[in-house]
Amino acid sequence: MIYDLFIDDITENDKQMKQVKQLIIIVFLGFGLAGFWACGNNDEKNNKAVADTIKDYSLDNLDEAFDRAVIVFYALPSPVETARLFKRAGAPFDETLLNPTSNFEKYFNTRAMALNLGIYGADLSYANLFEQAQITLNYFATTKKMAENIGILEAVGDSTLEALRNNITDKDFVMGVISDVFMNSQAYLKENNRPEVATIIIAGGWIEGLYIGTQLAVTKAENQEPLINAVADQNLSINDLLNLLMVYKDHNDVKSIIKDVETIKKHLSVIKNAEGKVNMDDFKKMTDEVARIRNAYIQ
Amino acid sequence: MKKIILVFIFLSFYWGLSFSNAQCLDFASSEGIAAMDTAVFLHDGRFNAIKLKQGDDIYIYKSFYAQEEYRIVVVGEKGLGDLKLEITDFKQKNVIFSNEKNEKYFDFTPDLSQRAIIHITIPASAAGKVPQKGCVAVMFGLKKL
Repeated sequence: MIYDLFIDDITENDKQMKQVKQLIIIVFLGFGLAGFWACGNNDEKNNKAVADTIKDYSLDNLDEAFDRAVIVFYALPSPVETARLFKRAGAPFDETLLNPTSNFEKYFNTRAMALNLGIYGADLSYANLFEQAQITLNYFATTKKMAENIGILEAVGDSTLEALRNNITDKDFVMGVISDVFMNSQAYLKENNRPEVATIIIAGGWIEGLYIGTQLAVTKAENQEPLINAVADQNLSINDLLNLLMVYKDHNDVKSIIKDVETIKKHLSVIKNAEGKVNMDDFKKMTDEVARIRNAYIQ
Repeated sequence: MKKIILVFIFLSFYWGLSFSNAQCLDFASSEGIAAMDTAVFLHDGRFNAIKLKQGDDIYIYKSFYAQEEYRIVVVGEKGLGDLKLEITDFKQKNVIFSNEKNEKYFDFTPDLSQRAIIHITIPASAAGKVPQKGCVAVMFGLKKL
């Protein structure tokens, strides 16, 4: 940990030691967590909710806290996981819901590229899960180009693309490659001190998953109820997404995304009543709102 | 004094983070994936790995969806000791799993979608000994369809 780099060298008097400890803990809490994948500590409500399991590591508890680090990760469902959830709930495949690969050239700034890398990643997972070989290849190639444009070098090597082409009908092989690409990209962004970009990619993928799920639920599914419930289950992870984004709340590229996710949360949190029944009017309102936000991202 | 310390902290943070991330990706890709058993499970593609030291704790918030067959893998580098893993239901606070036999993974198929807290404790070093450091990787697998 950050303070480990110091502790062996500190030989100052107690007063200086206290100052060092304070600075180290401030940096650890304020900046250190920001560098770790899916990691954060700034959600007071959340921390209160688990106050019985997680100690309060405020400066008042500095000396106690100094001896050990407590890391909090928020593990968002991956696009692969969300696509499987919807498929299990009876979702069909609909190519018209994907962000067209021709949009790729529209994205120039980091925010747009990161959001749409997440969106294309979700589309790619969805297409592969439904064994759409040619669409999967197209989206994989677009994801590769987008990753390169955003500066993720060697996330997808040419040999990987070739292996994918040769095994495109093997859904599990392709999914394994996609998972490797996601993991390597996240690690690369961490390694290069761009964790906020990794977070925007996650947000893009999460919103695209919700977009696909809501659209299919209201327009395509033969039996809407399982899919509607699967979409409603996204309420479990939206707080984790918000917590993750809040780590970078002062970053210009993240601010507006937080606002969008808060809007979605407002809708998502009320679609089920106390008995667990989904109100379809509220569901449709949320569907429209998610579509508005997502469509703005892909423009 | 404060300025020097702050500059040093920032530089150490960036250098240290870069090195440990690269190291932990290799560790997650080898040890983590090995424990995943990729013949049966598909890694979900999330990277949750970090360099820690003995005595540290990790809490992971994660949603688990009904009927999905998960494998939760927790591995640490040699020298950290046997990691303690406890999975608790977020709402009810019921312990879902505790690795009493130091198991490296837990297979889990929830009946209902739920949010859980995964708590990993790295055992403290023996009294008087310098705590060892190493990578800890937490990976989630989904059973192949």
